[in-house]
Amino acid sequence: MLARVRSWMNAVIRRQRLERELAEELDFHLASRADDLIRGGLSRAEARRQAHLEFGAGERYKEECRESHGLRLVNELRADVLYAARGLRRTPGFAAVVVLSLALGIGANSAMFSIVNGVLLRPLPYRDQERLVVLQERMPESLYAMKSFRIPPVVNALLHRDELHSFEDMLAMDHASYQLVDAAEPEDLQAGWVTANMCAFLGVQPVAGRCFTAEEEARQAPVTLLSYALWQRQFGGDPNVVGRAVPLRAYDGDKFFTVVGVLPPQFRLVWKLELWMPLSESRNYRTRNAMWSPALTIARLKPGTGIGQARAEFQTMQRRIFPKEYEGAGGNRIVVMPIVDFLTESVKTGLTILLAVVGLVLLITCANVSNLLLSRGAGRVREMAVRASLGAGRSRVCRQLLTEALVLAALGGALGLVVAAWVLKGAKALALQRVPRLDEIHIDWTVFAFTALVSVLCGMLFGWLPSLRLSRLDLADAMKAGGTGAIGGRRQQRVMASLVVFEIALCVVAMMSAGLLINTFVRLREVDPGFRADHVLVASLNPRVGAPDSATQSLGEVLERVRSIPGVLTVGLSDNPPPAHVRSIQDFKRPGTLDAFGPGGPRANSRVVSPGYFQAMGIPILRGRAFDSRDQSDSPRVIVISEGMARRYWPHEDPIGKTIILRDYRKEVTAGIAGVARDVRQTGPRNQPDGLIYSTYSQADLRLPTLLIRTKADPASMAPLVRHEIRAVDRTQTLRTLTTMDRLLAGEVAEPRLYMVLLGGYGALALALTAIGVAGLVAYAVSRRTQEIGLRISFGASRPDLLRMFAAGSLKLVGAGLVTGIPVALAVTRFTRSLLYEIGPADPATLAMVAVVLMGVSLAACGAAAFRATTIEPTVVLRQE
Amino acid sequence: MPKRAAVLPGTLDLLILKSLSLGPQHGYGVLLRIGQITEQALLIEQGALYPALHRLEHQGMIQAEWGASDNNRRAKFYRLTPAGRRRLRDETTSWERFASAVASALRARPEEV
Repeated sequence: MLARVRSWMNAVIRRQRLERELAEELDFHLASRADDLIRGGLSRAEARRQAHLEFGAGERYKEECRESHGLRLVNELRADVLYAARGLRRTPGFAAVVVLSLALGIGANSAMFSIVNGVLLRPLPYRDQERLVVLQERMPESLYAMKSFRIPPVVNALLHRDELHSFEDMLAMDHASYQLVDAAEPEDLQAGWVTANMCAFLGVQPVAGRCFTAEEEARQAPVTLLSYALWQRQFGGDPNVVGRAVPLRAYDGDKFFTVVGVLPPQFRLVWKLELWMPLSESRNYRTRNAMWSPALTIARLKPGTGIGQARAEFQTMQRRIFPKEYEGAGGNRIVVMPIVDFLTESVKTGLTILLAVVGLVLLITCANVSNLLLSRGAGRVREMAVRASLGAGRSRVCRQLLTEALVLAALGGALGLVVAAWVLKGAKALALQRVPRLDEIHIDWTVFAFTALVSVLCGMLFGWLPSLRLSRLDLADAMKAGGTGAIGGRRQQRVMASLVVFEIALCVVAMMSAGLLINTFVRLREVDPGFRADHVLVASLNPRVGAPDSATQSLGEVLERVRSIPGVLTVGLSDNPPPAHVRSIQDFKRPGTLDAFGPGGPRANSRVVSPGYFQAMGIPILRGRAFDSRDQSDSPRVIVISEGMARRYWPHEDPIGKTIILRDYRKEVTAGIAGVARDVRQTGPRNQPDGLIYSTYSQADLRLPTLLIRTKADPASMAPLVRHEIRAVDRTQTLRTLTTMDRLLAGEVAEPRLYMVLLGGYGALALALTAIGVAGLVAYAVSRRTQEIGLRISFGASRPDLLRMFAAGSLKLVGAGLVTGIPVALAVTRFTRSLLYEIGPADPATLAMVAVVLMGVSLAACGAAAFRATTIEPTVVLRQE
Repeated sequence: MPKRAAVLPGTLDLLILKSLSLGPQHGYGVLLRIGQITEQALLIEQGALYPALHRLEHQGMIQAEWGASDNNRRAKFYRLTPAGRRRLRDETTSWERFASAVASALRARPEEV
């Protein structure tokens, strides 16, 4: 056995040499025989002739020698491929259409596969990552609508680490931010405060220095780890950075941190952060604040422990520690989930839907190519008949046709890689921030392998039907002048028609998904945010260190300087403008009612703004007034409330002039309501507006100020000027954000936009392919029925009559496709519910539009293809007997 | 020359193997040797030898090597491999069994059936 394989491989690899040697061997034989004959008395010429005669048919024996090395299959395949290539070169238009549509289908699939693989399936680069779970407290949805008045207290799993027996180790982290001011380019740095076991827990080795120790965490040592990127960027990759003391500015002042190590490039713990310090930096952690829990808690399950066990244990503990709150918290969910799920749950649905639709597009493409091959096949019947008559068996012909299909598929696949690279680049551009791990995906060998596999499968899929049908020939029938027999007859047309119906059904599914998501995006964009987002530049400042008075002063100076820039209309300040992702809640009491502070009592979001804020943001004051120069630190405290809050707490009276009691750092402050402002959506279009209490920055602490600058011209062009003015007041300002409000709001809908673009693109592609399929089928039918049409014309049928005839046929097809496709579409789109906004997955309007568009496009395609029918000359075709 | 018998299909391989068992030889030499050992009683079409040789080589029964012939021409020499030797032994046994069975059938007289 092995000998055979070796011999075969040898023959394939050293073809040329084999040929040479074979020729040499046979020549030797002929020469030797000729010599013997000459010795026997014949002349040279006669001896040679005799030798040849005795030898027999040299070529045939050579061929048999080649066969005996098992080369026959390989030679035949080679011949088939070359033949197919020649055939395709003769019909470049056909080849181009097929290869292009295959490339689009296969390429899109490869790109989606690499995304799904890279984002959802690939394991994380941590030690024993399959046992890692995330412990997360989930805020109930109702909290956003302010229906429930309680924020459930959170079990800090870290504090109770020793009581949880399902876990062998735990890691926790919280977010922080620092400014690197002592540098050529001062920078804002996102940092993480993490337990000292981070490196050991994750199995990460620093590239320089070491991780911090538990001992350093215990004594609250000011140490830090740098990210690789930061090390390169700000420290020039200097290996002596370990041990250096770096001054960092936080909210509460400047501090020197000693660098103990540098982390490897591409290191991330869910987020990619620049600095890592021990969790002892967190005051909440140090004081064991029971009302706080870290932003992220990861635990490793003990070997053999299931996640259900861990969940149950965690819930029991929660119930024990906070019995009252746990029962009444209504919807509080403690989530224990595998870390990969935690990272990807927000995108899992969307990506899966995309993958499904892209698969549908590929199936539609294959059906189309199959039809194209079938209709082309009808024209090659004579060619096949000739081959059969020359001795090619049916399986040989079938194999040759299948090889043609595979050649097309291979070309499509090769071009598809280009398409895949392009799609991947587009996806990254659209959604790098929103889709986790997307930046780590590249075209690599897995994509190559997948593309190759898909190409081969596609080739087989669309090739088998035409190959089978075409190789099944009635020889005599085929050779008749006008006859193509079984090929091209009613049966073939029925087969092609069912393929088109199949395409239409799939197209319905693709278009329905696309339609729902396009609808969603459009609705999201149309949502009124409650303020005027155009022409607003947003600049987030880092807090200025120092006494509150001087902070207000320098803020005032910044406001003045920015306001004086030509082209600036108004400037406002706010501590947390929309799109806000942080909430600061304020408890309050209405005097003379039963209101009380604490869970159960009234609360609203609080915002500290400057008087110019409302004007800069275009938020109208509906009643009363906004803040002005009357409201200083020594004047009575005033607030402005949102209209939703006014409606809810003063439903039948005018709140202007009324007072409420605020809880401000354990002090009670009485504030008068000076005005009511329009509702504003706080956190993007999906969330309902919440109650808001606005205070002025001269009367309340404005911690993290953001400038909102309304400009006359394009706000982005004003950015450098604004930065210059701000830096003039405070040289160390790093400006956390400097962008336009439009761009920020667009970022809020980045994910729906991504789905809309991709699904819309694929849906359109599906529609185009289906239209081509319908057109192809009708054109084919026309070409088959020329005689019938000629008869009809000669009996008085007019052009509209003929078009109507074909249109009726198409409508029947579309109808059949809709009938089969709509139930499937509804079953599939059920899963998109979480991605939709204000419409259901079975939205009748979208469905109706899909049906109408499909019918319209099909009729148009049919009309275009059938037009040729109307130009048939009856006398010409009827004479063709 | 007495009338030569045609070679039955499977037997050419057997003859080749036998002739190579007498020593390595090139294709033409194998032909001559077969003629010798069958006393020229068989009709062998010369060219048919080569597919058989290549097939046996592919199956690993014989092994090939290029060398110099008697008159210093380059020729492909074949030799028997251990597997080939085994094959020769087995085929010989089955041939003899077959031949004796046919011979005994041909000796049958009417009264024996």
